[in-house]
Amino acid sequence: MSSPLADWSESPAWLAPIPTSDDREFWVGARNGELRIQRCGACGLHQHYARMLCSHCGADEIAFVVASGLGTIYSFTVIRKNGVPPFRERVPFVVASVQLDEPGARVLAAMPTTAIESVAIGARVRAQFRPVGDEFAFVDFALDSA
Amino acid sequence: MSDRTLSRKAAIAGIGQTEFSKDSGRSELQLACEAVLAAITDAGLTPSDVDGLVTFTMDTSEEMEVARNVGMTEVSMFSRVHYGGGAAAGTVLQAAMAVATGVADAVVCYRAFNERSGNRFGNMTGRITTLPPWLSWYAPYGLMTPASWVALHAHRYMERYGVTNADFAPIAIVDRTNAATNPGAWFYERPITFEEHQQSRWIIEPVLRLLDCCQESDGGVAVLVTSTERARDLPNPPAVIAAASQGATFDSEMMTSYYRDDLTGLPEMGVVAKRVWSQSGLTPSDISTAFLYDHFTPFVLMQLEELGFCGRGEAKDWATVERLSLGGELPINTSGGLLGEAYIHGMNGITECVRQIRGTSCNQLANVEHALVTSGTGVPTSGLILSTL
Repeated sequence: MSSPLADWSESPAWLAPIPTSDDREFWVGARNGELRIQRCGACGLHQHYARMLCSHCGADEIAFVVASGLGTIYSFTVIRKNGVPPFRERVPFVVASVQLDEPGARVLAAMPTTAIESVAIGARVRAQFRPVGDEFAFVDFALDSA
Repeated sequence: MSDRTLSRKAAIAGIGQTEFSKDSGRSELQLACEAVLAAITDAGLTPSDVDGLVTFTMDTSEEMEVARNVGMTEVSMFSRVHYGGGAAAGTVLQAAMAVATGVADAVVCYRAFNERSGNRFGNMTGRITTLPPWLSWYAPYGLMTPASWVALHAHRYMERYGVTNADFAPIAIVDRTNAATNPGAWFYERPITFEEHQQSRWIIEPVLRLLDCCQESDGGVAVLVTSTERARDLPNPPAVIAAASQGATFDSEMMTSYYRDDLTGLPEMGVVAKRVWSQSGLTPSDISTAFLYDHFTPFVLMQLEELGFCGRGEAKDWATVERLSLGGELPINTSGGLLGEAYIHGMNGITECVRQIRGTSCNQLANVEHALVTSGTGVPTSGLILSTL
């Protein structure tokens, strides 16, 4: 039996991102419908979340690139209880750690439009973007039907 | 062994605690002072003999409030350790370093809280206005409680090694069996069976059932650390600190660490393991009993692997009730652990191992020489080996 999916379109102000100079590109990119992650010019690997140095080799030759938004579920959990609004009204829902197709990067995010019964480790997923405030958006994931 | 070693230079000479409850009915400061005073008295000392204090960064009882209320006169060393329950053995490390170097003569480590009747962890209702940086990548997705944070690691671990929730049952069964014969334990006289474990409700399906998650408690615990030399002359047999270490690795976070390469281990505990074995010169087969921090049962299995009691992925077969019970190859959590006795952020595991070294546990084992204590996992953590004189 599939649970009805909650509406995630409204988020309270305290959940809104407060971007730093390091990660602003990610949040603005999401608002523009792009998953922007960092790529290292020295080792060629990617990373998320944004950092000052490459987490793989330590080089400082990092620049934002637009990722495909495609990936595979590395691990996940189902949140069935959460006493804090707005999540109290959203349960149950899936939170997943997604290994992106771009080597080196993983992204943790919610899967608000995906029925909890259909999620498995190894499943293919695609990024979705959910506006928050005027300038930014959250990155979510959904099962990739393509 | 280098002259620079900390090994065996300091010892735990006093232990103290309040009762463990769900509603203490008094302030956290009161609990801290009661535990601290009990530890000082147990060591045969007076408050004016104590010149150092160490607690957790999360503790609400300020060092000087404790000092004033119990009557300490001169305090020459005070320090706090970060990362929640990962701090427990770390407080003893700080104290041992202080007495080994002569910075202080007697240091009390304490932790006291009303975690059940006061501020409960994971309850963010009405308390958050802006997110701390480490939570800002997770809380917007509703990942806000310790059980949910642990679940992503444990789920991947289960998938990789073919572990099921039933494989976690021995930890809960052993803890609750030991608690059943500890009059100070919340779950005194209330052991559980395998069937009860498997019938308890899901908290995080298919990872954690109710009986895989530790309880929440009110209470305070303190230990007094002094030089091994001085401890010899005090009333109780010293629990000599054979080794103490903290542990953190690349991409360690507070409970989350989702951006490291592999979520199927506890690399912070791997650091602790390497250090405590080399510092003490001991190996896993030398350990008479262990307190393995048991906030969530899957992380006990992963700790057994990190500490070298068994290989990667082998804990599901190695961690049997028989092996981990009193009289078994590695009796764990002889007071009932956090699941069975109380959740005092791991400090009650240290006091139980001190009692095992002294020979005064309510579940006393025969011939205890070396006891291993670990602290909170999934966070930057710490560990200790306590030995007889």
